[in-house]
Amino acid sequence: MATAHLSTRVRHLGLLVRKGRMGNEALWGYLLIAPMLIGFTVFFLIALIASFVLSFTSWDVISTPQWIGMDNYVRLFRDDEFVTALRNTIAITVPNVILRMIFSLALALALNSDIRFRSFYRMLFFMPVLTMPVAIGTIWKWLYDPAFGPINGFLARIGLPRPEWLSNPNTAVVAVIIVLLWSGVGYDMIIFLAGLQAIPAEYYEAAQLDGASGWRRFRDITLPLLTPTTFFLIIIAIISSLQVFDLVYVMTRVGNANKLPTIVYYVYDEGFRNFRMGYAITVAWALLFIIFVFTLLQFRLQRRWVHYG
Amino acid sequence: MNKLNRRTLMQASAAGLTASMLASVATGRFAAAQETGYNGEEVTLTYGLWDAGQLPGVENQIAVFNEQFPAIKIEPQVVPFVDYWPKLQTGIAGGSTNDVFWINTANFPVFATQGALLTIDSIIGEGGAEPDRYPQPLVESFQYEGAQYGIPRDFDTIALFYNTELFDAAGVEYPTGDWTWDDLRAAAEQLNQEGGPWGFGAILSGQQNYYNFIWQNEGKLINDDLTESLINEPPAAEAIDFLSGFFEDGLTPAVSIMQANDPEDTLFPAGQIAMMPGGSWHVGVYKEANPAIRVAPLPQGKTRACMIHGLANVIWANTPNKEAALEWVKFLASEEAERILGQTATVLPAMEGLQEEWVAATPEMDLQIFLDAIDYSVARPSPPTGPEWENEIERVLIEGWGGNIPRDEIANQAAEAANAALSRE
Repeated sequence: MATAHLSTRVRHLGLLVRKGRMGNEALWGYLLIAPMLIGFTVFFLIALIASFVLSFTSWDVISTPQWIGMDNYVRLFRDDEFVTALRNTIAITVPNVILRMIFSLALALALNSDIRFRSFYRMLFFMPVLTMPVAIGTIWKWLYDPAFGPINGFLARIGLPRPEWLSNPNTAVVAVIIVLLWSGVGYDMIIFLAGLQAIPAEYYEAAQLDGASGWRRFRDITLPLLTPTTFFLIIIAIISSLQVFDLVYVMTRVGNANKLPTIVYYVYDEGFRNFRMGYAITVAWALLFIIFVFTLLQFRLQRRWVHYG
Repeated sequence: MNKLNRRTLMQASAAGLTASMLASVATGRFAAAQETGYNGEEVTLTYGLWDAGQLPGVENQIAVFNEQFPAIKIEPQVVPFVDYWPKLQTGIAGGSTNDVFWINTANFPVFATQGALLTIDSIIGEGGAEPDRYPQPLVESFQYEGAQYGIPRDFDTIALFYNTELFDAAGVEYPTGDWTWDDLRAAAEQLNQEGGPWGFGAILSGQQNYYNFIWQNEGKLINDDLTESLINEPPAAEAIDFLSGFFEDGLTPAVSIMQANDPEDTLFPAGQIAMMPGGSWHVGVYKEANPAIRVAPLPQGKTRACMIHGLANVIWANTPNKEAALEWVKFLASEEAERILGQTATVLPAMEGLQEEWVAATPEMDLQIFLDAIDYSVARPSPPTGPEWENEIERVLIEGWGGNIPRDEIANQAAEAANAALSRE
């Protein structure tokens, strides 16, 4: 009975729609996506528009914002501190992305083969991904301690020089990249593993019958068929490296100074410590623009090297 | 230079007392001063502070306050100093922050000019908060456009802490009040060992370290109009150079070591530094941490000088519990609350006449030194643009002492950076 009743109702609804009265179905659709849509509008769309408008103001967070036109953008182009932050960010991003791809692919290949305790190793390498970045930064800061830390203790014992690590911008870049790799390769490894397992075994069998060596099978089957995965991971890695904040906040800060300010750190510093929120937002928009350009470039270039299927 | 002399300070407060009595008689402004309008309802106030070492004293204050006002629950919230101000500012902007919180003289102008603070004029007067019982210069530093926003809670001066064990082990005489810069340097050389313990802790702090040396050399941080830094002028630059020597010769933990290990909370109490300038607020923690720690006056340069600095309890302008907050602040300004601060030996209570109890609470250290230092103390100038110029000086000094700026360029670059900050909006 109930089913029959329901089907009449549905037919009735269908009739209504066909008759061109209010699209009841459409209404339902809107109602169902409303929570998401409202959240998106309030927290993203309005915030995005507001921040764009605020980038043309001088605002100390509490008083009313003052309209200053393009002044923030003019300052951006003459700001040495912004240039330093940009340089640091790129110095972290480029090696981090390249090494991250190499290490995570190597790990995925190793853990895709038939070795003992495979799942245990997979879990081990994935564990840092689940750890809070601030906790990671705190522990590594201690490991890097130039006088009392275990890393320099070890280096001293085997007779190597003991770097200052986090206090020297050059070694600090290396130190931060090491931590980023340690905490990041696990995630990429899992995605690569999924990519590897999606490659049909027949391809390898066929190649083997044709007498292809292990290296050729890797170069001509594995690598090309992993390109969609690699493409995705590179984009994600670039974006997350350009946004590095928590590690440099925890690790490279001395009192009120930072040895390795990145762009997002500079946004924080200007906005939340010097209370020039208008300018901080301008810097944030500059970062958004940089990420946009990088990503656009990638999508352009992908036609040359990414193979789907 | 903004010199405070203890005698003039007393005179000033005596004069202030008469003046304000006259004022209250004349205008009747403070009639019914102690009424806050609090009606006994149950409320919870958050109380923001930045020094976890002072929690025991604060908790004692809360306990006594609750005997009188059991319905007002006070929740202390400790945020470390570097993160304290950003958190406060964003909280105020977001419409939710601590109802009552500490503020210091350097940051007061920033918050007062934004209208973020509630005036406490309504609780001033006999039986309420009595500004006349506090050092007048400190009281005045919490005034804005004729209104009082805070009553000083405590103040601090700087002296030289030292570790008797390390001095005994090296066979070096303990520091005395007659020490000069040369004595400091010579003792540091004798006490120093490569890789620690170090002879001297040139802590990366203006208040505890380099400002004092600059003033002792008759230098200035900033001009009288508060528009231009003068730390590249010879007297100040010489003082900075004197300190650069400690870094260059390895007589102090390197910047990188201090970055990884806080000298005031870790290295010094752990016996890794033989002597280090520090504030009166360190006494409570140091006497618990290491019984070998004693205190001496700062060594003198061309003159004696040390920084004086104070903080006050203020109320957030938009707190939903104004009445209860006023009750709490009124209590905090009372003799009873101030006495607790002195007795728990945490900090120097700001109320006149209570400092002796603070001195007596730690007989093993000669704390009279901190009170005597008031005579030659200097207050830090606070430009309305906020503390960014000081942060910039600190940033350049850290770079320089870390070896990234030539020694003779450090003071110039610090002044340049400070001036850039002072000229920014």
